[in-house]
Amino acid sequence: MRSIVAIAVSALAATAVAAGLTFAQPAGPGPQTPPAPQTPPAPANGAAMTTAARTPGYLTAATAPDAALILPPAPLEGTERYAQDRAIFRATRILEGTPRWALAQSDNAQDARSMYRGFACAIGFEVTPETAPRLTTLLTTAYRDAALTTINAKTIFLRKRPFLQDAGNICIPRTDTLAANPDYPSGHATWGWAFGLILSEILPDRATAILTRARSTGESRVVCGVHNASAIEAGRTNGAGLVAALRGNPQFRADLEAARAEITRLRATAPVPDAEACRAQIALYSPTPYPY
Amino acid sequence: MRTGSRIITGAALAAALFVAGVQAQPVPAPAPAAPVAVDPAAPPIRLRGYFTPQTAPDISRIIAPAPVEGDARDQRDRAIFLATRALEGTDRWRMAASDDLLPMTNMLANFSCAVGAEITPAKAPILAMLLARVGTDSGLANANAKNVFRRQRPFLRDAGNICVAHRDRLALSLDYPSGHASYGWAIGLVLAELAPDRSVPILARARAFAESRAICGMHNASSVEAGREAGAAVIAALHGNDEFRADMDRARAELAALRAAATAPDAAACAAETALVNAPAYPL
Repeated sequence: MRSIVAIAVSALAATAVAAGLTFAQPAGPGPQTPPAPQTPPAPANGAAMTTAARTPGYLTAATAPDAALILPPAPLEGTERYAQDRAIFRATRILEGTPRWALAQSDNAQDARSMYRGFACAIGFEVTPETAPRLTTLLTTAYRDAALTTINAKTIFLRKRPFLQDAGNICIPRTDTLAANPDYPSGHATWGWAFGLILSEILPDRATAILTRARSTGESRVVCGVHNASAIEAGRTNGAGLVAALRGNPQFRADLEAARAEITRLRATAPVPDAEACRAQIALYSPTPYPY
Repeated sequence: MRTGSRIITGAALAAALFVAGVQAQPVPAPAPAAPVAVDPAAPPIRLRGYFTPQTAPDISRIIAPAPVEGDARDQRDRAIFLATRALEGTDRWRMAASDDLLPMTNMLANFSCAVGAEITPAKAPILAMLLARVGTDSGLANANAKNVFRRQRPFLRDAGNICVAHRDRLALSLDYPSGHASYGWAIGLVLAELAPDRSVPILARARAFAESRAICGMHNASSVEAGREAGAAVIAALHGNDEFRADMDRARAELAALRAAATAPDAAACAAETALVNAPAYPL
């Protein structure tokens, strides 16, 4: 069992990058103070990540929470939840061509610049990798941990993505790499929720707006058709566990204090997004797009 | 414990008074002399939280709305309630009954296996106080959301026993999202941060703590899931509070010292608990 898992992980690791699981380095003047590198992930139980080239995050394979042991298991065929996932996939295909579908397409990008743009109305002012290099470094580093914890669990649960089971269009190109990357838990939902939790800590007066937006980034994966609804819920659970483990890391806490100071300064001068456009966007993403 | 420093006295109060943290009640000013006995029907008396009404997140906007009667999620909730009635009398049922009891002594005991050290309010007064205050914040934020969604508890709709006796009082409160699930997940997130090397067993225990509500029959499964989101939102917003972060640093040092000195909890009991935690709660 373990050796099969190891092989599968290594195959997944090779495909993860193409499947949109990397948090791109910001363009332009990048982060100035990368966090102290940590020991590269050590093999654990013979089934550790075999991503030899993994750039260190804050956590290692030994300290990243093992989501497979924390999450409820993925729904099994024959259960109500499994049937409900399928029904939601089929029902949400009707959203193709709507503004919510377009939002799901834009929520596919996980690089810092795109994430800041996607959250701009919730944050309430403009953030870019150039204006917030410390925060960007922190998020870029933490993203690697999100990818690590997600891939490990996906490989244990091995749930198929919904579009591989039922017919229907999805909002992004169907690629072999996407198809080879399992469903549960959703990496985008993990990261979207973790991103929202981290930003909420830095901007607690905006927590409601930010976490509403964070919830919707996960829901975008269901609208898109690339994830089952259960994988989104599991992603949020996973994202919260990830952020707790990150807060247990002294380097993360130090970087977070630096990011907090940076964002507090930035907030005083940063441009504010267009109010009318934000009203429309908030109205688009605040309601849940499917009945869960 | 009662004659020690102010902090220890505070922890004793927290332990004695933190009885029912999930009701929408105003926060009374400093607690009077405390009844020590655990009476789940007693009105909640709470410590001051960290949030002000202005800084508490609006959980009703963050989480997905409650299921609508007859939709797929609602049907799944009913099926889970009915199926899990068969667990009455099992060890998992007893765990659910124990997870119902919010006094701090009991909460810390229920997370002791996961942390790997026996934790009591006397041994960890800073942590106990912090968690009691988180309970106030979590309880109030959650109660506000319950009042928006106004979902009925499952045992008021379908017949079946629940794991606790205080049915009548519960009938007055609402289902979605689960206050215990929210608070239990919040405690898990705090402890995982303070003891990150134990984050996996702690978060698994916190997930099972939340699932205990559905097993007990107090809450729908959808409320358990929503409770985890509410708990994570509360803890994120709390980290934006300077006083909370300072208390976390003090609790971190306290817990590290405690773990270095504490006796490990009973290995056989912990193995039994871990088996219950790791078993899927309701595969529906």
